[in-house]
Amino acid sequence: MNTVQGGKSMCLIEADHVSFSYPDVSRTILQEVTFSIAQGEFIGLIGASGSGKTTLVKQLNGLLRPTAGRILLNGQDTGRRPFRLAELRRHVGLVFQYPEHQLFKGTVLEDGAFGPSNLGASPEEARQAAREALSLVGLGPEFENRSPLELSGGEMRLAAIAGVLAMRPELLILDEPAAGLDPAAKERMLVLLRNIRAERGTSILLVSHSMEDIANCTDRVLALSGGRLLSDASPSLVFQQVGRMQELGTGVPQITAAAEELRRRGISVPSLPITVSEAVNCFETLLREDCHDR
Amino acid sequence: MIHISGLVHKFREYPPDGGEAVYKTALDGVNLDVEDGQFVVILGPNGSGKSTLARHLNVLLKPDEGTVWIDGRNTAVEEELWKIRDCVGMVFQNPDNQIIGTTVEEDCAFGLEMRGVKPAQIRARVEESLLTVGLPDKRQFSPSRLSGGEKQRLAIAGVVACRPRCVVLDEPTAMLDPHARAEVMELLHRLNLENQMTVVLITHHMVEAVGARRVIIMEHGRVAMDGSPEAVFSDLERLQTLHLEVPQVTAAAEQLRARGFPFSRPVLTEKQFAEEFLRIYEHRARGEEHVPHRS
Repeated sequence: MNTVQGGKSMCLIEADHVSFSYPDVSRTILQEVTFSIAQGEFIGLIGASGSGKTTLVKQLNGLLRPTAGRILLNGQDTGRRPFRLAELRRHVGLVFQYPEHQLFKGTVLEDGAFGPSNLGASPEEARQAAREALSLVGLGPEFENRSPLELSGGEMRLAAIAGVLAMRPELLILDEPAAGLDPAAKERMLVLLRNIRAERGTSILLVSHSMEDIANCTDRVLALSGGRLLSDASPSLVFQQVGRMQELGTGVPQITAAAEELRRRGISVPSLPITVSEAVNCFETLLREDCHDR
Repeated sequence: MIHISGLVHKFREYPPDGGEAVYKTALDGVNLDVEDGQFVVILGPNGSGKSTLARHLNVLLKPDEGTVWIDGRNTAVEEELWKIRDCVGMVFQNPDNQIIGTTVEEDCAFGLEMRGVKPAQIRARVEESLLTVGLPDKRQFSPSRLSGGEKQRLAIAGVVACRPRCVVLDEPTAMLDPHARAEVMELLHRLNLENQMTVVLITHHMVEAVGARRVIIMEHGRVAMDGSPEAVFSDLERLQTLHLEVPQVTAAAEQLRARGFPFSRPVLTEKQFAEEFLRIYEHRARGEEHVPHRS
């Protein structure tokens, strides 16, 4: 499951039996969650609202600390000295939901340079890192001196993502990066995530409620329910279990549900398709086969 | 209920370098009638004028040209403002921006308090509204403890409590997960059927038009298409140029059509897809080379 294109399979970050609960609340939010992320992987994190996705993501860059278990970065326990949390945050970039609400500097370039200078880059280095990140998200030099407030909603979100990319994280975590975008902007966002991985070899963890996006983009899916990790497998494998995913509250891609419906009505669909192109091939075969058989 | 004739709306835009203001036409001659009790879905890409149109329906904006009549009242007439707003309630995309009360019931009562309704009547209406949207057990909760879907249903409850005859919703499900989205859609259809409320729903999601009696597509500030979902969604070539979120089964059915399988249009839901597939499959199983289109 952990094989990566390019032959490298180094483990970047590991969650080792991570549990978490708030001191005054009896409910456990995460229970013994264990998984690892290798360099260059594109992983989907799914689960119903309240399943612990956001809490888990905060563990991965040290905004919250496990109450039991460990987070390891390149094999080092991030909870023990001499490990510094700043190190974890440099490697793991977190883009929250609606990140455009966090833009605060006077110009797009300054905003992008804030992260790197916080990590100790010189002003010139920080601006250079910001320029590279802005160009990666598709905001050219003409945006540099504009106020973030003058940008469109979609551009603001890209500027906010560039601010995290400027720190050159090895793992980029995005919580619903396409929420509230119109379909064209959403499509561009998913293309951008693939480009970031292709150009920088960045591992990506995408938190999403859209099972269609998860099926189209990711190599591997982590499914959470009630703070437990219930699945860690390829999207094709995870979405075969339609009933289980519906119980989990995430559902499956629409086309997978349609194929399951056909199965229920007696059509022998061999393996449930998870994308439109898989589905078209699968259904065409079924319709043609039948014709020849009789 | 709604009668719009030749509506034009222009926004002034100031270029960043401080030059002369330029006018951008958001609505470019919209003509539209919505009857009492209809469920209308308005679809369109960003910048097509959907939200601007919605804002004219309860006088958040006034026409630059043309006229908007709500229940026989002209929105350009200052004295009619509050009567029109009593008639048309509005729900926006982000529930966090429209919740102000410290408890659920307080928030739901806000519109009634602003209208000077008597306390006893407020209590009764809040009770009824929270029951309608399925939040009666959470009346003492702080809205911050609600999930996204619950917050959006609370926003709708606050509008419903004022008993408008029409509710306009501007992408109310854009920020919600699929489960919450389904809850909100179910609620809107219930309000339409049981309370005979006119519903104008603005959305990016084609699938939310399932069950609507009428679909309107906006493009470049004009009404580009207007008809039943069956009629409008049959013109997929046209829809694809509008960057709408096309359901996976719609895309798959279309590609299978192109490969010679006569899927009838439109296919929007899993169930419709399965039925179309089975219809074609069974014809072929009977050895019929030619599969007729669904009549």
